[in-house]
Amino acid sequence: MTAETGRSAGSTPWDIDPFEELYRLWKAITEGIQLGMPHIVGRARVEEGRVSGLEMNVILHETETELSFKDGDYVYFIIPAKPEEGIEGIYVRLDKILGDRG
Amino acid sequence: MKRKGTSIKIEAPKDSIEAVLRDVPGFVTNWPYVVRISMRDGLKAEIMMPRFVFRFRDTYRVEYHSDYNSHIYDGTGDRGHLTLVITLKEWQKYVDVVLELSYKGKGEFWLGKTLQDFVEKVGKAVKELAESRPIKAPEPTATSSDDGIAAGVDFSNPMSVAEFLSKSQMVHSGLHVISAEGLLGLIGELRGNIRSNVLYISGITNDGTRSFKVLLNGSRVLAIEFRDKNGTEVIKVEDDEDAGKALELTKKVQGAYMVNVWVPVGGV
Repeated sequence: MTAETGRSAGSTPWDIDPFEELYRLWKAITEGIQLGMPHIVGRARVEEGRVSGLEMNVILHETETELSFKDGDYVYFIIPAKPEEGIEGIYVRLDKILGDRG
Repeated sequence: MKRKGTSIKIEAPKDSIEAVLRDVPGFVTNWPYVVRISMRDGLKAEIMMPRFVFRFRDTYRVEYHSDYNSHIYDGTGDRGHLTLVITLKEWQKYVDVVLELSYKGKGEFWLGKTLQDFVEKVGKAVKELAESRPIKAPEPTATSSDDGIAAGVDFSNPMSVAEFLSKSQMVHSGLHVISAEGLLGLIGELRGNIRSNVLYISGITNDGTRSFKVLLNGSRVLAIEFRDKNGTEVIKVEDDEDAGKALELTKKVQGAYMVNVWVPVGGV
């Protein structure tokens, strides 16, 4: 199994630690996979290309969905959270969305 | 003095076997009956040899010497003296490895069978370690840039991890049950299928209460992080003392983990 990062340039600069947030959600993700497809829904505050705030939660969805849009300084997003990709895999998805939208 | 010996054939290049034998802490960790390794103040290995209902436990200070075809591990303990001599003889398709173990000390008259087991299991460990090494290193240019990417990673700085991931690719994902002292075993198993010197291995338990990250270059641990309910321990390996601590930390990793392996894809 492979997961491309999609971008070879450096990652989005973060002022907060995205990994900590994902560790906090991990339990909900692994519990969720038994009932449906876990997704992370949330919003990130992106100012001048830097991510300065992040609020996230886990929701279940029937099918894999990915959606993001930008409104002012905030990027709102829903991304699939696949446990087999680990914390790092989910981070890479999140980083890509914020890189594209931010 | 009790002497026991064995000989095995290893189908791996002599260089791979020598690399295993020269990495003394890594090699000694894979010996049987080793219960603890300490790097503080020279390499010390605590070895517990069982026989009947007894256990002969001693801490040996290990010294290593080598010449063109033999490798000697000399262990001096408080109650005994243990010497292992490994001699290599290279043939066209394989290498003959002769191991001789001698022990003088407490319980030596009883320990014959245990010492025979000991030397045979060390032989098996050399074989497994040498044969699981990648046969050919990736081309030098890629290696040097991979080394550069890896050297910048410090687990106490999440952005250095992010930077590494942005230039990496996930090559393996799976649920692994890690037994006592088994993280090194798992790394060896994963290495067999992946052709990259630099590996980033990350694991997390189902409930998220325990997780680890380890960054390796060849058999060297460059950085390790272990987190559980008591908090997070992070080590960036810069000298031998750090290497010993990192090795200790690998032993805390036990249980069922979802494991992912990432390797650098090259390019900056």
